Amino acid sequence: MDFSLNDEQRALYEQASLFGKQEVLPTVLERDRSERWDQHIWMKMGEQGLLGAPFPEEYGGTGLSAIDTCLVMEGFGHGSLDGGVALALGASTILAGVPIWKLGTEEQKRRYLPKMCSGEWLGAFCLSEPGSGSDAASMKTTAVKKGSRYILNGTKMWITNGPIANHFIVTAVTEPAGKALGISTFIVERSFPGFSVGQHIDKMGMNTSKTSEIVFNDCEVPEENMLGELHMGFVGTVKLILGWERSTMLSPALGSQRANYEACAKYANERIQFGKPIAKFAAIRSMIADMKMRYEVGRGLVHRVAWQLDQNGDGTNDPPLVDAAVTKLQVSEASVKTARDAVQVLGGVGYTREYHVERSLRDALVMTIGGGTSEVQKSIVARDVLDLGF
Amino acid sequence: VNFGNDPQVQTRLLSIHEQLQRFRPHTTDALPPSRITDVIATGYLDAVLHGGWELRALCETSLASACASTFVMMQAHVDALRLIRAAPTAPMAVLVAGDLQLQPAGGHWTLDGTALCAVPAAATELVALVTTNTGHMLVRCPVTHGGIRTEPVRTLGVRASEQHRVSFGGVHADNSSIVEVTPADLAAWQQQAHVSWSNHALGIAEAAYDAARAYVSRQPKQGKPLARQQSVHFKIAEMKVDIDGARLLNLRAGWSCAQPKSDPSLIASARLHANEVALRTTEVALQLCGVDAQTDELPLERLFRDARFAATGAGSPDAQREAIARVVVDGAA
Repeated sequence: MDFSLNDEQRALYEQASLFGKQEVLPTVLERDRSERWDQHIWMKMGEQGLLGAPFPEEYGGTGLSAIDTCLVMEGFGHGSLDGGVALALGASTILAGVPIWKLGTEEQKRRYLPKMCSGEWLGAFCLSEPGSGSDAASMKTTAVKKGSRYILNGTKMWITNGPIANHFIVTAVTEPAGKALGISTFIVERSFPGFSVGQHIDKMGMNTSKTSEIVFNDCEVPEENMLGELHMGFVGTVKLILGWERSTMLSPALGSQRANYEACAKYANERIQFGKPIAKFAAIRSMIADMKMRYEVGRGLVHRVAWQLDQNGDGTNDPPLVDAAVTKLQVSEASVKTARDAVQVLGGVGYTREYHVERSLRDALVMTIGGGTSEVQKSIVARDVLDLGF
Repeated sequence: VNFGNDPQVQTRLLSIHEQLQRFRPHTTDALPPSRITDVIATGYLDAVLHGGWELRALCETSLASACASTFVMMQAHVDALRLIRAAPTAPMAVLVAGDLQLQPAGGHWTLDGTALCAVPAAATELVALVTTNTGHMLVRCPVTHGGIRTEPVRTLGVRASEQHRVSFGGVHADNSSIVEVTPADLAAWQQQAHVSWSNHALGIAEAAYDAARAYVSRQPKQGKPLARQQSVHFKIAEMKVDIDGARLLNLRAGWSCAQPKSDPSLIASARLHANEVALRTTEVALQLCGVDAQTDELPLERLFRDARFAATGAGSPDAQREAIARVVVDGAA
């Protein structure tokens, strides 16, 4: 075993953190209040190489390993303090990009990945529906073959980047009797007939990203836009992105945890009460120490999943399901706890919107819900370690 | 970054681990006097002292999961051997640290004070760690020294670790018995000791997790295994999350210790987390297994008590928090 990061890896982290601090952080308070998406920032992220971190250079990417992608995304989360844009980055690059990179035809890769890497196009992943969240395989959206096209009907819910994305990775039932083995995945472009953006969803946090319903009403999708094999969309796509989601997409939350404990340490040294900095009080010191401890636990877990992904050299070595679930559960719960404690350490000002910690708490709360709730993660872990079967 | 085990480490660990796990006592706090020599015969000492950080960490956790009391005794021996730089084959010495004073007296020194420590029957030498005005020193004394009194003490946990109240009353020591410890050596030993105690706490947590998992899988309730109850298997899942996180953090802390510049906040984080995990896991396991866990038919009541010792000895959780805060909070000032 070796837990060292080389100079290049440390630089990746630092560059991403600095970029976030200089280009994203200055406007985050305003964008959070106004729930504004900033395409200008997105394009700059493309120039910086953030949007195509794991993709091969021939498709416009940076060609980083999963673990290096984690470092970049953690650095971005740390410097930007912008959970919303980090979520948009994960939804586009990881959820909508990795399936194309790994399952797509050469033509699909050439059409979508370069535009995603530059920032010209933004992707979204459409799995959840009004009636199926954690139980995603019970989806109702259908895709029926008609000539050389598939006709999609249904509604997808809680779609990050929904109102602003150019293309959508959509799962739909192609063989109702097959259940999870009767679902296929399609790349749907915004311009396709029958596609529309539904209701905008007002959220508690992650307000610098956009979320909406996506409606398919006899939406016509060319058959060449099927991604991967027929009927294997759920199993193939979800299995493929699981490790990526539960490493790279958790990394900005690690960055946020670190930013929170650093903000608390700085504030505690400046804030004088009872004649001395509150940093001198054991209660404050303990809370900050616990934040650091939780961050280190999560970082080890995230890097383990990413390292597993990298083991066959192309980011497709599936990590054990249980390791991914353990990581999701720890990092998401720790993010909430740390953000909650950060508000407490900062006291009255922590509760105001002038400081970043109250937003980080609102942003963190979705971590225990999106991409599989904490309860679902516990079920996955328990079923594995107790051999209860799935 | 590489999370893969070195194959040579794995092979050596497997051999030691299999032997150590046979020592898992399920019914008693009392151990046969031969236990220490049995452990040494597995190659444990050599692995821990000279096998590299990875093998050391894995062996320590393995021994603690097999028997926390034996770990405590072995650790007192390992600490002494490390500080006096003795070979694994040296006669059994144990480290004594506590409220001890060393005073010059003519051409020699006088050692006074008391301490609580493991003194196995096989021990032949006590190595007292003393803080003086000029630094830290070790005083080596035979257990049979006339000025030393050892009285067995019954403790809440690790009852088979042969804890004794050791009293030094005007023990004469000449210069040949004194070993100076440099600040760097002391700091390195302290960091390594914290990692060892983290591994100890993790081993206790793993043993409790294993016992609870086995119990809920076989114990029926209303016609199906207890494990089928969501409230039960969620608790098992939480234990798994805790233990996985602690294991990885302990390994990173052990790795950090072996680097030219270690990270004290990482090491303290590992110790703090492992202690919390041991306390939490043993308590939840005790609860999950109901009244059966209160008996000595399961190891859980013993592990519950042992975890307390792990969290108290050689640096409390608050001391670890303070160590982290010195880096994170004071470093930001």
